[in-house]
Amino acid sequence: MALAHLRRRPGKALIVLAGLAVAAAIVVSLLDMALTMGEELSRELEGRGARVLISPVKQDWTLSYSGLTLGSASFQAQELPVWALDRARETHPEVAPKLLHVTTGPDGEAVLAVGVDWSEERRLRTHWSLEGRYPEAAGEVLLGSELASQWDVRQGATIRLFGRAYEVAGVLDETGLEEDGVVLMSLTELQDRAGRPGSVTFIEASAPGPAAGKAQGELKDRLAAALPGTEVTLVRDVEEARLGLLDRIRSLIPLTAVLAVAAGSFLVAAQQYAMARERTREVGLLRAFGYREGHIMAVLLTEVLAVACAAAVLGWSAGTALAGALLPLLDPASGALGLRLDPTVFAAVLAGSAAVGLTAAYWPVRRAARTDPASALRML
Amino acid sequence: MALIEAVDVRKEYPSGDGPVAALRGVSLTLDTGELLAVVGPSGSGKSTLLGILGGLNPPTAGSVTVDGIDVYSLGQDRLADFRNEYVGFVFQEFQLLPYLTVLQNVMLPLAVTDIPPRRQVEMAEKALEGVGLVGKARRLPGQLSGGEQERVAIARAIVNEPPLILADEPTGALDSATGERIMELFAGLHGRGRSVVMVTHNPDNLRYATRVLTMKDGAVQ
Ligand SMILES: Nc1ncnc2c1ncn2[C@@H]1O[C@H](COP(=O)(O)OP(=O)(O)O)[C@@H](O)[C@H]1O
Ligand SMILES: [Mg+2]
Repeated sequence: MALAHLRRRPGKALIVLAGLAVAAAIVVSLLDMALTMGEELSRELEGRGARVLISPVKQDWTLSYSGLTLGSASFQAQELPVWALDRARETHPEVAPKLLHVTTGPDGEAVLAVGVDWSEERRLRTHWSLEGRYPEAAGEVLLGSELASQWDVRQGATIRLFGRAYEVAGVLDETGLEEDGVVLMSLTELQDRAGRPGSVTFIEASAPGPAAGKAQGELKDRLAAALPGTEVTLVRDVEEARLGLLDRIRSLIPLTAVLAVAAGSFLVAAQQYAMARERTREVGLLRAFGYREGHIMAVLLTEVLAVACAAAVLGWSAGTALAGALLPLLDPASGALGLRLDPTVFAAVLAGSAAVGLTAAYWPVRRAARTDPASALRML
Repeated sequence: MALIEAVDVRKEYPSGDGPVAALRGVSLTLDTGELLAVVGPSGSGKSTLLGILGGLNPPTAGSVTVDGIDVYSLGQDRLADFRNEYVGFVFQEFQLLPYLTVLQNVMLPLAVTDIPPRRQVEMAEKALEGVGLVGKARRLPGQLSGGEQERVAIARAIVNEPPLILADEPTGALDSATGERIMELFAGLHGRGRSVVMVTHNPDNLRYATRVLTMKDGAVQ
């Protein structure tokens, strides 16, 4: 009966349907985008994470590696004080020291060699994937993908640096970052070859646990306190701009949801008050046939519920389509992944729309159900 | 056996200049199987009386007993159940819901019972058969003539076989030939052990009545 009424007399219910659907669509599109972007970014953050960087006080840097920019002319001279590594280790056991050294490649070009402590490095760079294996011996190196293709070498090849032969134990898969263009080798080997024993250009530290969280901030503060005269910074490998965008989308959600609920409730309530007036005769008739107030409320609320659920389905579809169209424009990287469709978003929108409909309709419907049949019919 | 016993029923409606007395102490008894015709000038309280007898309109004073039930001592929900079980209303101007089919209109009083849906359809079809409208069950009321709509309203009033049918000017909007056929339907109803109270303006209808009640100024003449 409720559905027959809607089918043959859609009227204002269509306005409510459209209004609720638009409200739901906006909320859904924001939720979809925030979810998809959030997932993409947290994957990146988990992979690369946030790191604390301990470096000499900055001078004229232009070459960069791992978030640190170095001036090619001056950086060779830049290094941390000798006590820095031990002090950093005392503060936080998981630190990865690095020496950056510009040397000459096989074709006489400048090459950035990065000396690392392999066990620490591997702990830090869990997101790295490579062809081959990690170097173990001093005579082995790991090549960035760009450098490997520039030199046309693969895993197992031999390259010459510092007048010596090194075996390419592995080639890093392309990262899109500075790693692509460097040679990674054992820290002590590089210190020896470069004639800089004990030198460390910078130290990286990462706290366990979810990236971008409080842990890194606290770690940074502790290291800064322990290592005066150095620069201690927190580096996120995910662009701040994208995190900012995600934050903005997320921050829009509560306000938008509140507005959607308010607008939806207003629409439903207004339509139901009008309905209560227009249908007094009908309600009076049903009362005369022995419908209890509860029966009439059930009939009228079923109509509202049907409209609200249809609106949720429409709104979810439209919102998902909208998010699918918008996300590639706002954040191409996550847009390329395709939308993440979370069933809880659908369930939440369905439940939300139904709740808004039922709550907003409750009082007007109750008033309608209490119609006095005698005066409503007036012809008896 | 008395189906209805109304004792000294009074009804006042509030209005701008004080209460208006629509019924000034009406008492009546209706036996099972009677067809009582209520006549009287417009405004004499006929519709008000019908509403009060059917549990639709609480009297200001007096009591109504139907089948031993003191109708207005019932709570809201019980009163609704009473109307559903005991009373079939046929309203002026048919009062069909235009967005429901003929069959759905007839099924309206059954929707709040616990009769299984399939049985409800059977009962509605049987009621439509009783008024000669089997072929029109899937139509909308707007597609029917006035006489056919009236018959749908009657089918709806008898669908759950209530002992009491209350009809307010059921032939008022019909031409005399159609009205005659409708009256024959009512005659058939009370013939089958049901009681009918019918408000009418048409003197031709009175010959179907077992008794005539004449009202004037809210009182029985
Ligand atoms: N719901 C109501 N509110 C106020 N006055 C009413 C109402 N129903 C009927 N009346 C008044 O009560 C009197 C009797 O009306 P009614 O019972 O409809 O008479 P009849 O059906 O004989 O024409 C009239 O004066 C009418 O105006
Ligand atoms: Mg009347």
